[in-house]
Amino acid sequence: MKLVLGWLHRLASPQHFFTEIKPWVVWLYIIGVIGFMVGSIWGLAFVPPERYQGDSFRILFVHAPIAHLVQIIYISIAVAGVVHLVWKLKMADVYMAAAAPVGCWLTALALVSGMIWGMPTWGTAWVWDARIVSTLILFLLFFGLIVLRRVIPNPNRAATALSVLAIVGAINIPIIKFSVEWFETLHQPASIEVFGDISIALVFLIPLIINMVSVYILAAGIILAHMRYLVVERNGSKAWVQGWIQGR
Amino acid sequence: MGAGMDPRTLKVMELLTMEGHGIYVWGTYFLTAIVLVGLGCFPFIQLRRHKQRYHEDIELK
Repeated sequence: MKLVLGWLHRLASPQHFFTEIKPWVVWLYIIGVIGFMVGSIWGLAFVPPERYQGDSFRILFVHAPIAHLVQIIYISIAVAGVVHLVWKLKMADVYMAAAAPVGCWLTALALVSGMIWGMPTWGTAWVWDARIVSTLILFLLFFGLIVLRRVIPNPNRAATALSVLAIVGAINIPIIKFSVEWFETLHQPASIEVFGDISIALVFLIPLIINMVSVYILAAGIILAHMRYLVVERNGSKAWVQGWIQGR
Repeated sequence: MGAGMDPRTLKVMELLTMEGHGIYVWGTYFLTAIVLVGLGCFPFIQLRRHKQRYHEDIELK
């Protein structure tokens, strides 16, 4: 435990973060990509068609993991916001700056993949459904985090504003989660509950879980890689960055 | 469709067309792959650009 805490403490230093996190990025990329390929090929080729939706349900194996992942990314940004406001940790701000664009792109992907899935199953790409609208709000929140950083020239003020927006916007996450229970929606209730029943057949569950775990691992790698770049960009004048650039 | 076709080719055709849903399913997977590859490569491309810019600045000086 002491060892892990010591390691995490060292990662709060940009220089140590940059050098020590590289092998983690590589392994997270490798495991994430292999896992995602296994889960996707399994879901595309080795799972029987669903009784009502036929083959179009195979979109589930990418749509559901991504849609779930973006909510966790947003929660993690809100937590980083709290860390920044309370402890003024530089790396918390770097995390927010790195995770916001990743979350924004992935939320757009969740929305578009849902629209594509809606065409054959609902007969329409868009409905003003509570879950879809709350996910659209999530996309706008991620977009707002990116824009806010660009329009506020003072980096400290920008980080504070970002933290506040991230924390306030976290109210949207339970709305996304419970929208299917609170409102009349075309979305079905959750098929997997951590402390409840699983209402999805095992044959569908296995590739879904593989893809879920894989996109989490891959997203962690991608966010860490973005953080490495931001660390270099923000510390460009420091001797260790110059040394890295010159290959020392 | 597929009368007289090799069973393997038939299976591949089935996998690609998915009874008319192939365009939606493959389109979604293709889009997902593009977004993930783009997000995954972006920080490495930026790091390389940063290095190049630095070396160009040194040469100009």
